[in-house]
Amino acid sequence: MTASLHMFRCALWTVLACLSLGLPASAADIEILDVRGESRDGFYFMDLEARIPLSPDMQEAVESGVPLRFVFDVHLVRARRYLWDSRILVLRRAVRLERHALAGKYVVHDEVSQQRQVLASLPDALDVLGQLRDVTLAKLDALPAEVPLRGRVRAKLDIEGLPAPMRPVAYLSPSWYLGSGWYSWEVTP
Amino acid sequence: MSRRRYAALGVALLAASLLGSLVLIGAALQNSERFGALFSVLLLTNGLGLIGFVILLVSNVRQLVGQLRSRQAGARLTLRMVLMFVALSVTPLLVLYGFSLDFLKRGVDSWFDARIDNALQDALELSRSALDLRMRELHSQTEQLASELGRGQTSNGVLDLSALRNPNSMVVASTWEVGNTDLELLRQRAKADELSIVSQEGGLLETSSLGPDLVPALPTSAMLLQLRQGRSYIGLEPPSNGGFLVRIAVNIPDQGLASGRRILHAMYALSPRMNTLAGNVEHAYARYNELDYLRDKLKLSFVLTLTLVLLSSIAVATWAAFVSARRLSAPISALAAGTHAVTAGDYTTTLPVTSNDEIGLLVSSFNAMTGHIAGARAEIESQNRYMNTLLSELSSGVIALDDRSRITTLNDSGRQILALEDAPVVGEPLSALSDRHAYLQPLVDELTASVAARDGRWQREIRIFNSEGRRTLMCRGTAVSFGSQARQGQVIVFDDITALAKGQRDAAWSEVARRLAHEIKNPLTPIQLSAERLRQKYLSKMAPVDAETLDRLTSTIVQQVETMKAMVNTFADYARPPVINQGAADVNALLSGVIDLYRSANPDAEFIVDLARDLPSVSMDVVRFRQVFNNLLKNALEAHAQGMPAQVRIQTREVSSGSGSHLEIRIADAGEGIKEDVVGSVFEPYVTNKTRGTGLGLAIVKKIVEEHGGMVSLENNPGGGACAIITLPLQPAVLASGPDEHRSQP
Repeated sequence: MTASLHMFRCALWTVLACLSLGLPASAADIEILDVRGESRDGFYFMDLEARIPLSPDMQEAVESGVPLRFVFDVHLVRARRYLWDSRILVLRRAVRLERHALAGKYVVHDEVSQQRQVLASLPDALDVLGQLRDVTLAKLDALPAEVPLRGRVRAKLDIEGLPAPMRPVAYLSPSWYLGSGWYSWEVTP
Repeated sequence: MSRRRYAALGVALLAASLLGSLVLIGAALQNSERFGALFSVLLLTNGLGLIGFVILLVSNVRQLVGQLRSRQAGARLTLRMVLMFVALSVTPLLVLYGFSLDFLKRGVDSWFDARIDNALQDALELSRSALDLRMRELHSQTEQLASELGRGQTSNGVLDLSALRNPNSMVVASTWEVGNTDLELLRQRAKADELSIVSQEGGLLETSSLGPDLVPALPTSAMLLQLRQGRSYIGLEPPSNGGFLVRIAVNIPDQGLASGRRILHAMYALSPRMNTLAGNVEHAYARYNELDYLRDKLKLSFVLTLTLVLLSSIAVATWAAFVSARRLSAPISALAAGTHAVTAGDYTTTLPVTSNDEIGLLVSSFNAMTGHIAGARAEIESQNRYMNTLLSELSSGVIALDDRSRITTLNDSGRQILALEDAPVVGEPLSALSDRHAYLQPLVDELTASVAARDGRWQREIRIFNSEGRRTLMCRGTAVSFGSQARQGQVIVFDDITALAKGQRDAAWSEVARRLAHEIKNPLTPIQLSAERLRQKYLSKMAPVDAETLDRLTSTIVQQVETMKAMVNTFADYARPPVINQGAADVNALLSGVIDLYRSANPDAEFIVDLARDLPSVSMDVVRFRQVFNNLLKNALEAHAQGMPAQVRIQTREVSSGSGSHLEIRIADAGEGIKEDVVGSVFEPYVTNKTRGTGLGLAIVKKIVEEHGGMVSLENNPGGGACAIITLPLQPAVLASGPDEHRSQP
């Protein structure tokens, strides 16, 4: 009985080790270059600039007509000394990149503002994709003035935005994991 | 509802949800709008459900392996049924899985054909060609408009469009002037959606639009760069809401204006028919191209889903096989367990009858059988109790031995007779009795010999000596059979006949002695009187020579008659019923007194006295024991040859054995010893080693010692001579205890 239990534990640890090797590591391939906050006209705006490189698999998918959806998670948090940060604002901005075969153009579509830009080349499209301009985060009245706030943002490829057949492969393949770490900045309303 | 039913219901619900989610996965893979978003969640749910089932199965398999190892009833039957069920369910599943995989791959591959691929490519190229033709026309038209504008004159300043681009800003329409009438006319004539004049740096100078859009489209930096290089821009804009748009930007010919070079930027909509056709071609091509790209992923997802279905089905089927096998084998397992319990002696086992089929009938029969057996066993136990009660009430001891001479029964009387403690002896070999109690060795030897002889019936008189003294046991054995004739044991009934035998023997000897004394003593007196009268009457009348003869003869007669009288008196003493006046006596003192008498009477004799110190007092009749020591010392001195120095060794000591403490008295001589032929009967009356003597000395010694519950023996010393050994219990139970009780009738 003891031997069989030992074998079962060994098998379990082997499976877990294999799974941990197969799962992608947290690779922050998207690089957020700069984030600028600005208070204007009673609102707090954010400009973001990021570098989004696509892996060959992703480029092949875009060229084949598969849209890629990128999400930008923006948080405004109030730092606390002994507890975790309190989130004042949680915002998700989604931008979709797709290729139009007949026109031979790349389209960057902001799902929130419904703005679309047509670009002739993929690098131009990625440049536009990595730029968020004048993103309204909050009314200045709604932000606590006396407490120091901190903003943080991260970007990642939304695997759930891929077609269903691609998702299992994307979840298990490191080449489909594209994201950034959290980028923080001081919020001065 | 029982806990087991709850568990089964939970597992069944899990299985149903697993299969349901598999169906949803299938729907999601077919690009269903409803379930596509849930695909990953469903896949994860199924994976977790499958892992749950695998854990459940592993637990069941481990439980079954444990039952098999412990040889639990019904485990092998369950294993066989599970294997059978699994084989029956898994085999068609595997066949179906294999065919499905093949069909799936072939089906997905059949969607794609090189001809369709080429046709779609051709359609796309055709569409592009048609659009190129149209765009060229529009380009020529736009260049013509630019030429016309180049000949004209404009003086409008650059509009600030930053406020227009900002979605959060507010634009007041009245602050911006719509383009002049010439540009509007040009736009209407060219049927353009939008016409704008832009500076070389991209600033909007003038615009005219068909729609209500306030923000006109402007050339990008790349377009401006291309225009600065002198090349016009012609591009097709993907449809957003309305349809395809053709964007054309050309340089307006320079007329030497101070404001610099200008650019005409135009947006043209395609005709609805062309829009529809181009849209269809683009949609079909994009869809096909995406599917072609997803071909392998689609196959993998379908294979994954099918594999999940297969594994889930196998897991559910295996679990159902476990449940069914356990349910089917449960009554049989219960029967096996019940039979095992009956084999182990538990006849109270009653199994629940859960069905009306053949198994239920079997269970009912089993219950009836165990009931009958339990009744019979109760009856046997009752008989056993009766027998044990009977045995315990018997005054005789009873030992029952099995075929391997192991004690199976020993009643209370037997324990008392053999002076056994309450230690359990049942189940132990007969030799264990002598191992624990050395005084039982003669009994064990005799019984072992009698059992080995396999006599049907036998009877022995066996003597043992324990703390209570010498015991005579009358044993009667009978062979009995256990089950089969090959297994034959013994039942031995024994009685303590010590008192009876002694009484009989004493009575016999007393009768003999009394008759002898009576028959002999009666004529002796007339003989003596007659001899004395002969002497008195004729001695004075006879001649001196005859008188001397008569005197010698009558003296001899009288002397011999006296001798015979003394002998008869001795007989009478022997035959006299024992009258013992017991009291605490110091054996060493008594023995020393007697030794001193003999030492003074026999100064040449050597007496070696070795008396143990601190001997406890012994309850005895001092007078009679003085006679015992007299007889033995006298015999010891007389055992030496004439002229040889006598040497007598007297020793006392306390001996402890398993049966208690004894006093041992040894009186040894250095004479010729005892002849081998009389060693066994030297204590019988009229057995003597001497030429003179009555032959009753040692018989009287034995009688007195035995009256005190002791034993006496005579053996030859290894170095020569004989040794009389008296063994007396230190806590004697005197057999002849009182004069009133043991005085026999004259």
